[in-house]
Amino acid sequence: MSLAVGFAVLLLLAATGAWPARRWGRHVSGGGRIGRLSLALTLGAAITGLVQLTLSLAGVPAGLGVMVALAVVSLSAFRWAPLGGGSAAGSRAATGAGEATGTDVGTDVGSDVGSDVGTDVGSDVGLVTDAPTESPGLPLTAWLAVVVVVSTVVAVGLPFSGDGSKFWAPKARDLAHHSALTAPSIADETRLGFHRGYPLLAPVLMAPAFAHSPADASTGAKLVLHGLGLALLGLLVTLLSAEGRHGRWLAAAMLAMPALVIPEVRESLGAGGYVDGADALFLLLLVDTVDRLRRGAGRGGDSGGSASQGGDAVLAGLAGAALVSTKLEGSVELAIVVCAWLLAGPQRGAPMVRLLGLVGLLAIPSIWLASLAPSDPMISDPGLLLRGGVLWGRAVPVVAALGGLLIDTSALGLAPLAILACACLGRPRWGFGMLLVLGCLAFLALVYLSTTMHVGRHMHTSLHRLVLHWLPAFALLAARSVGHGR
Amino acid sequence: MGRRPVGSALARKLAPPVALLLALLLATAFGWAAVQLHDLEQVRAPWLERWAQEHPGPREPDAQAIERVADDFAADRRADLFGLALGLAAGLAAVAVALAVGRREWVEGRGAALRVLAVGAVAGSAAAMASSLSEVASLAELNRWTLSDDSLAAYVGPLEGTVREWRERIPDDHAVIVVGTNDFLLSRVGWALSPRPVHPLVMPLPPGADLAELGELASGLMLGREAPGRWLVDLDALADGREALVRVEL
Repeated sequence: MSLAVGFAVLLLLAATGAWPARRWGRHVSGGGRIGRLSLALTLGAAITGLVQLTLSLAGVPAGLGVMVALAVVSLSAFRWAPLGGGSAAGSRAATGAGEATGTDVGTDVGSDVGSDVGTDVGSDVGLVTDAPTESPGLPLTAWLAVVVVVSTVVAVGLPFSGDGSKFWAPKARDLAHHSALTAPSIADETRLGFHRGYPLLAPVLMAPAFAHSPADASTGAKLVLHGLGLALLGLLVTLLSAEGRHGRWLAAAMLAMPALVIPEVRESLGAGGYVDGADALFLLLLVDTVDRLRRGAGRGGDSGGSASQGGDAVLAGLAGAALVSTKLEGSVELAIVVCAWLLAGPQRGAPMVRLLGLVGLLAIPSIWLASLAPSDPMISDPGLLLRGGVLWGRAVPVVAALGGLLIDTSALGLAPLAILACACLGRPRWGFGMLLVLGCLAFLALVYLSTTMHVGRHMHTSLHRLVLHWLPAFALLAARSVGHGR
Repeated sequence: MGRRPVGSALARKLAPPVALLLALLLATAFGWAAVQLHDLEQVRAPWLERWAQEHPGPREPDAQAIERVADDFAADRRADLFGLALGLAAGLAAVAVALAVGRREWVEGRGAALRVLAVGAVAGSAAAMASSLSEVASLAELNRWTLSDDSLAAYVGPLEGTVREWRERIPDDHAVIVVGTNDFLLSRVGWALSPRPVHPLVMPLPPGADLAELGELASGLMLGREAPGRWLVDLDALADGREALVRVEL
């Protein structure tokens, strides 16, 4: 019963995102069914979550009704708001390009020159007109299917645990019957509740699964949450495949991260019911679209390019707002992306203002709800950053732990090394990607240097998950740096 | 186009038998390292532990807790190095096989290192999947993994019987005050007793505190007074397997 409800929620999310994905995400949805479904699920989750949070401010609990209504609106839009000629042309070009250049992971060992030219040509077309891209190919698709099946088996049948049972799932269960303003675990300080000011997008998405499941059932809610993790994998594979053979090899390495399939809660992306997979999903979409906005803007462009930029701006705005509404770190991650764009350019003006305006508008409910929630105990004390002795004592273990991430094979497999190897294939130089890496490392260093917890314990419990937010985005930028010679 | 990686250039210059021999040699070396690491429980970093001892933070936990963190890191380090050695051994073995069957492009093209790492990663992931599925099967036998609509046993484990009995005794609209510092049990009890209003009272209790006395003391608290009835759960007693639920008289 609960599983069926969870599956129905995922279908509704995908239906809600179907039209926006076709309208604004042609560079992804043109890359095949995996890309279309993943992007639809991503956008459906972002739109539904943001709408539910807005309604929550009006006292409306998160329920299936809103999801059904949004899905109906999206599906109806295919009839009354046609996607336009540019889209169709783009889709046709996409299909053709995909068929022409599609190769398999196991067999894509053509000559250097040939494949490089092919990649660059395909990518250049993609910059302006949305023509995709290469399909993932059979071996990579099969590998994705294996990972999806195993990770789903592991994640869905295990109970929420750790932070999942401490606050993400209890909040979702509360939000099934109360609005965010009245939910006891959020609004009543005498009731059991943790981190009351944490963003609520993931809980409002899980809430309907709890609302329509028996009291002790949680598989439906876990399936919904895990579905966002699966969307991350699908989106990542689609985007990396678009970058040619190196991208596909990198995708294979990314799918091989043990964090996707292990039941150990601390290192797993799905077992405990944490929302880090959703954070990584929205961050990947944000980085992808911002990178496209940068590249497209830098090239000037025809009408197709303008349409593409409009779509990218909408996707970036939705992804940014959903990111801010998913985890506290999301706000910092958005700031890092914007700062990197500001520093690396090009075209920092209008597109960036549009992005920030859209994010600001869509994230109002989350910001408002966070401001109303009772304050949490601080896990960070910036004052510690001014104490030389503390900084010096912590610097060595923090640097050692950050460096150790490169060979953190028990959670990340060989993915960090593969990303590095891929980035080194291009011409590593200062730019958007490098600034993001620096921003991520600086943020992590500041978090642990200023923690009020024991620094070792804090890193041991959270470092993997915070890094997992960024790895898919780093993989994408590494693959693009090879594909485009940047 | 980007620079050609040094490794690929080197591989291009090597005659096939030499490249094959080198790949086999390295795969064997990493495989041997993986076997050695597999038998260890920990790989410690004494200099890092010494540094941590010499530079205590502002709010250090007790020595035992610090030792536990060091043990956790040492176990992780072993697992990480084992995974690295295993992955590289698998990737290089794949290269050796490719060379043996005449697929020189595996080491010639750009991105040979990426291909080795990707194959090694997939091999490592396959091992992780096998281990995960085996663990899931074990957990399913213990009712700790389930797709059914009743996952209470998975949440509270051996406390399932106790919690079900409490649910029978405590009406849905009664409040429950949960006393103790056991974070894990607190969230489990809170989860299992929902939708009853649960009020945590996070404070250490003297060892062997009397449950009836706690109930009397709790009657003076304001927590949960709006409910028609109140109950108290002693988390320490629950952890010890003693009677842990008492009615709080209004």
